Amino acid sequence: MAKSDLLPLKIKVPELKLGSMSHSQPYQANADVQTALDLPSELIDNWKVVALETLGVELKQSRALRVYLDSCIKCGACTDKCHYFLGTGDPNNMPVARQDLLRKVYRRYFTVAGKLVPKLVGAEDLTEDVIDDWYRYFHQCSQCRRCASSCPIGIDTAEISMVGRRILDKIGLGQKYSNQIISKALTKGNNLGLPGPALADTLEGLEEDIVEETGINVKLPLDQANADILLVTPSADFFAEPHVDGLIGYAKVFHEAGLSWTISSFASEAANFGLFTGNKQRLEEMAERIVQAANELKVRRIVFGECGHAWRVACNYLPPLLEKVSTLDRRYPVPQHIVEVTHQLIEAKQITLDASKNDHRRITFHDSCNVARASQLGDVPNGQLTIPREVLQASCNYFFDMAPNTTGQNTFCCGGGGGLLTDELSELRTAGAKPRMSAFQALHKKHGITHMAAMCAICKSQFAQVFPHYGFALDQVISVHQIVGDALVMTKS
Amino acid sequence: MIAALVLLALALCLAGIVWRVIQFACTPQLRHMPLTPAPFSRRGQLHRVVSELFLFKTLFRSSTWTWVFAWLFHVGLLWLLLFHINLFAQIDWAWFAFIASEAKFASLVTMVGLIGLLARRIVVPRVRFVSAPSDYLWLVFLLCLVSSGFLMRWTNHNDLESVRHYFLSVVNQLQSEFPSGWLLIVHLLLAAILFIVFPFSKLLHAPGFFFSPSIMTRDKKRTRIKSAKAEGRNSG
Ligand code: SF4
Ligand code: SF4
Repeated sequence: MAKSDLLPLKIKVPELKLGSMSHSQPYQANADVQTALDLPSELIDNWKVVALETLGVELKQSRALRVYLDSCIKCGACTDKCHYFLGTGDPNNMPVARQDLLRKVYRRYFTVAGKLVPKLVGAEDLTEDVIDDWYRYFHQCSQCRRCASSCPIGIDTAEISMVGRRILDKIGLGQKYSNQIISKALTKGNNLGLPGPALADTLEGLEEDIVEETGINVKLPLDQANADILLVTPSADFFAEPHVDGLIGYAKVFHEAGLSWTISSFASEAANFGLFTGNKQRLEEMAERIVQAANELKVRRIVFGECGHAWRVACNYLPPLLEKVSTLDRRYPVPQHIVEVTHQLIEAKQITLDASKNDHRRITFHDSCNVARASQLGDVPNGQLTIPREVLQASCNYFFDMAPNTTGQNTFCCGGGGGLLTDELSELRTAGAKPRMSAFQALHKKHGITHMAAMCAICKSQFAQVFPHYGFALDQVISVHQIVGDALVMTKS
Repeated sequence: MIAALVLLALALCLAGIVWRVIQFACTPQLRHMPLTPAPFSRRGQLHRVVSELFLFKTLFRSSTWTWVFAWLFHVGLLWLLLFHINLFAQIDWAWFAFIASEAKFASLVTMVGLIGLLARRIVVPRVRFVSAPSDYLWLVFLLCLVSSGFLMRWTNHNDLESVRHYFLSVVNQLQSEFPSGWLLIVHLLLAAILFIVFPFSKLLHAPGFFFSPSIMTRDKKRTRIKSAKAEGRNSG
């Protein structure tokens, strides 16, 4: 892993400003969205019973939840680790305080001490006020696990906010943004609701762009049976900036390496917002679409595009489901990441990179939280930190790392993860990006950095929006595979 | 009387812990969710758990002052545990007896840790915000427990031999005299309370640690068949 030459970033811990973010909450899902997912669309009459029942069921099904709720010692080590707390100062955004919103109810109804002496142990009744706090503050957590990696017991607030959102969903308080996306992905195959023919058009348009730019016939195949590789990529890659240049980068790499590949119109989405809302059923339904597509297209490998939480789902949920795909070649990781593919091709010298093509850029790398702390690359510990850097360093001559306490395992979330990438949460997102932006600003000052490379669709969209608030241009965030694509020496016609 | 109470409380405590451990162990963890970067090998995993368990490595990284006091406190506790085991079991390995002999210092170390933790809880607004009354109470309670023990040793309040004799005769259901001393009574009563409340309290983080999926899970390889040159064979 490239070492930063910077000292650790001095992170200013804000004064506590109680309630300073209590106005921040996402729009509630309306009846259309909720019914599509078989969920109630307003607070149901017996919400309290259902909420406690749901919590009870989750407790029986998840050792993580049970242990995390029981084992916090309130040591406070996590209190200054969350980017939303650092950006807003609202004490309810301290990870342990966020957990306590659920823990106090757990204690009251599920533990001896909380039943006997609630005041003493900080147990509280479940009231509508508590529910309101849940809705606010479980939607101010991007489930990035930075707190978990600072906790001596490994308590993961992400697990808790997922369960919290699950309960809210069940009693009728769904989050519009995430649930809308889930229902689109389940009906249309992707988060944008882009139907097959429109996708075909888009891909054709991209092929034309590439020919125009390079004179080379790089294909972006759709629904091609018996292709070697099924590429599953976030749908933002099909049209959003800077994502789409990343997609072009993958296509160039596949082309140059002579690999046959395809996108599936049925499973044209890597992202899986079921993770964010703790909706296991929907999460698995969406994951099953990938399994089905792989079976139908008889592919030998499944490769994921640049998407953080999709990769987390791919590492944590997908492998058992993919047992059902008999055509897969097990000499490759199942599933595999595009950065791994490129990395292997570089090592095997099957593609050549001319780093000087990127000499107009001075580049740093933002570790996406879901890749750094919730998944892996390359079947080796730390691979998720070293492999993208090796790929970048092979593709450009000016690479610099940000301060060590803000990269790798300590990386800060971009501020838009966990289903919070929606306009009504702009204030939160801008504030939450502050720690990452401070590190970027410091590096920019020292090394005149021009671009921040990311390998996550949410990070890219989020930075494109918040960069201007911090004095940068929105096109200074860039896909890892755009950099690779630009450096790639194209030898095949 | 008091000895019986303490022993009964101890039995309850152990039963409670066993019950909680069974509860943790029987709750399934359906999803593989290591907190990464995580080791892949068994050895790496062992190394991770040991360095967390004995050195509190994560805490050291994330909050050094808390680490100083928390570590002193736990080392002191371990030391005191050995002392108490030795008191009754009389293990005659020289090194064990040596470690277990100095209860005074062990208590001092523990107390320094406790006072530091208490101070931090009061002084740092963030930590104060997340503290329930029981969080302070535990620290104060443990301070009382440990300092009563400390005072006994410091003042040679009663000789250890008589205490040992008393407990052993209770266990063996023989007649025995309670070694006099109000400090001893306080110490034993507090200990009994500790034992009874332990399984229902946050002190459960001790067994909880061993069931925390984020620390206890190692990472898995996604490649099933070894083939360094897979990429080469497939293309070109
Ligand atoms: S670091 Fe872990 S144990 Fe300490 S307060 Fe935070 S969640 Fe609780
Ligand atoms: S998971 Fe991330 S966003 Fe959520 S509380 Fe922890 S540090 Fe904050």
